[in-house]
Amino acid sequence: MLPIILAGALMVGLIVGLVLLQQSRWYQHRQLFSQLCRVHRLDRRSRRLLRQLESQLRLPFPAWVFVDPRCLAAARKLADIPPGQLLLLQTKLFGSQPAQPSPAHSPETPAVQ
Amino acid sequence: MSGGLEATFQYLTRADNPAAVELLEAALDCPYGPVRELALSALLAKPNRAIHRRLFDRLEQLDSAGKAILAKRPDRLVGVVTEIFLQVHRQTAHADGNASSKKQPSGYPPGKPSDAKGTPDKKLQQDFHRACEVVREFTLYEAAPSLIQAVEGAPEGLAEVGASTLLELTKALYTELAAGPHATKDLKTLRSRLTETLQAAAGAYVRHQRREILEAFLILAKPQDVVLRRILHDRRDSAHEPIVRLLSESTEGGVIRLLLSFLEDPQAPQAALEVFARRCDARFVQIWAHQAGYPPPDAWKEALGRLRRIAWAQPGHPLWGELDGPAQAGCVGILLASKMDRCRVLEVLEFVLEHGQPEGRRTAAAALAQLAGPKADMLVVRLLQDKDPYVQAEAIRQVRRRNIPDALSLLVQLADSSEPIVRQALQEALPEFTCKNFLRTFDQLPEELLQTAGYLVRKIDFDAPATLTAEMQSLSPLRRRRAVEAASAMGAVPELEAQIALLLQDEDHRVRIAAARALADSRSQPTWQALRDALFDRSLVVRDEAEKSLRKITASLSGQTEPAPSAVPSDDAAPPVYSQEP
Repeated sequence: MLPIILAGALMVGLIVGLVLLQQSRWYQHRQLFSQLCRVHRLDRRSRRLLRQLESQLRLPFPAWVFVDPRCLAAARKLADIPPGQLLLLQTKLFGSQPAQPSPAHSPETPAVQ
Repeated sequence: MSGGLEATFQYLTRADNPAAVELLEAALDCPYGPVRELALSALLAKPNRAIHRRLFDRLEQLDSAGKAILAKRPDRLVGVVTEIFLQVHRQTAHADGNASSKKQPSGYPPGKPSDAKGTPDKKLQQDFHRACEVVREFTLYEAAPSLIQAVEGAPEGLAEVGASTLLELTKALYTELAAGPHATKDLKTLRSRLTETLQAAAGAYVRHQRREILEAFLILAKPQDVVLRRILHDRRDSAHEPIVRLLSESTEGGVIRLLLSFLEDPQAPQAALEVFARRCDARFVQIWAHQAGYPPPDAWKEALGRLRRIAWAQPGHPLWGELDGPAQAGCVGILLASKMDRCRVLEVLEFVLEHGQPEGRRTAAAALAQLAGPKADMLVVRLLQDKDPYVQAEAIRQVRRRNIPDALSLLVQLADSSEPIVRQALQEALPEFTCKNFLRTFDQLPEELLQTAGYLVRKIDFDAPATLTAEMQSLSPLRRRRAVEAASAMGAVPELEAQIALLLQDEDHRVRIAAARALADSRSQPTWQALRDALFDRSLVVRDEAEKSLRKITASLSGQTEPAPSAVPSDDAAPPVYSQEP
């Protein structure tokens, strides 16, 4: 009987934990990252590269790499990133022309924090 | 714009994930313009008041492109500013309620605004100021009803800003409505909604005492507005005096429109008509007079007929100098339609005739027709010599109707005028001096009067040549002969010599005689040739007359000191003078 109760409690604990996890900010950002990867039909290699960029460039959000073209520009300076794949990602996410910063704006630089 | 970036933001717009909002808000600070703009558009697309409120808070950081995007979705800001206005209203109303229940029980004088209004906290005051700026910048008409509510109870500083914002907003709405007849249904609905709120606010003037609210009400109100009419009829109403003052002083297009539309109403409130009697500002009178024209519209006549005095209706009033010609003409129309003393009207007309613009003078001259009496008669006689032919023409039309002594000779003196308008007027004033009448009485007229009468007819009746030509082609030989003789008496032979020359071949010898005699005044070689042919006419009398005419022509040509080349008889063209019959 006791093992069944323990198993049940474990199950409930797991479900509660899962629900709490889904409501967490961390999970929501991870989920958004995955959803955007799906939107752009990125393969596993590209996803891995974007995650690598997130950790190396210490981006504020995992999905930030999808909205700020500076992230990919900054990645060119990193040693272990294949330039061919970067170019491919650049084209997929932002088009072939690298965007020019608007001179009117004085930005912080969240992508290279 | 790259397709990849667009796809990202399209997804972020749709996404329910709260992380998407966080990402978009962070993207508003991105240095890349397109990213900022896409982020802003995506955030505005989300129907979440909290997001819009955060956008409102960072409005000052938006560049012009961002503001342009925001201007496309003003509804997103309306919700935010409305919330702020209602919050101010709730706080002040709550405080008012407390204040009135605790501090001012029953003996509080109704005419005095409450000075115990609740003051919203500093943050809310700042928000209120910013909300007013946003309302002005993005012309958020939908926020006006809540703004009125806020202004009604707000303390002085806030109420002043709010009221001026409201007035500005109303003016903008009026301008849009007045821009064309194609105002959208939304704008019209908005107008009626706003007018309803302003009605209530105008009715509660005693509470807020904001003149701007009343002016905003007047800009949008219609003349049938029940509240407006009640206030205008009830002189004891607290809003009566400020509304009348606004109607008397405001130069806003909407207020002037409202005032003028009272003229279409025979039951217009007396207070509104008194404003017409008082206002002397050039802008108002100019608009009024332009709309009135001459004569004023029939729909205005009843209301204008209730005006017993008009402030600017005085000779030498400085306003006349500020009005253009058509406005002066309109003013003359207004004066005539009013119930003013006619002597006074005549004095003003005399002044306009003396110092007015051409259009004003012409209308004043025409308006004299409606005024009788010796003074008006004298004025009309004086105008017969006016330098403006249009004024002269108006006077000419009136002279005979006024039974002025010697009117006929006064008119005959003008027959030499070269101005078509004067001759046209003479034709109307002297209907008996027509060619048809002249032909009818031709045989009865004494010989000595024929030339004078004929000369006058020729000057006055423009159609005389056509009438004579038609007469010369009539079946009756008597009428053909009379037409030729009349042409001769009128001195119209040079004009009609081709037609008369044809009559030298007429079957009736008396017509041929008259034609041969009349052609003594001819001046062209074909006619002379026709006269030479007439020397071979079967009738002796015709031949005689033709010869006499040819002699006369020769004598007149040889009498010229330096004859015109065309008139010099050449060998084959000169009319030969025969001393004897061929």
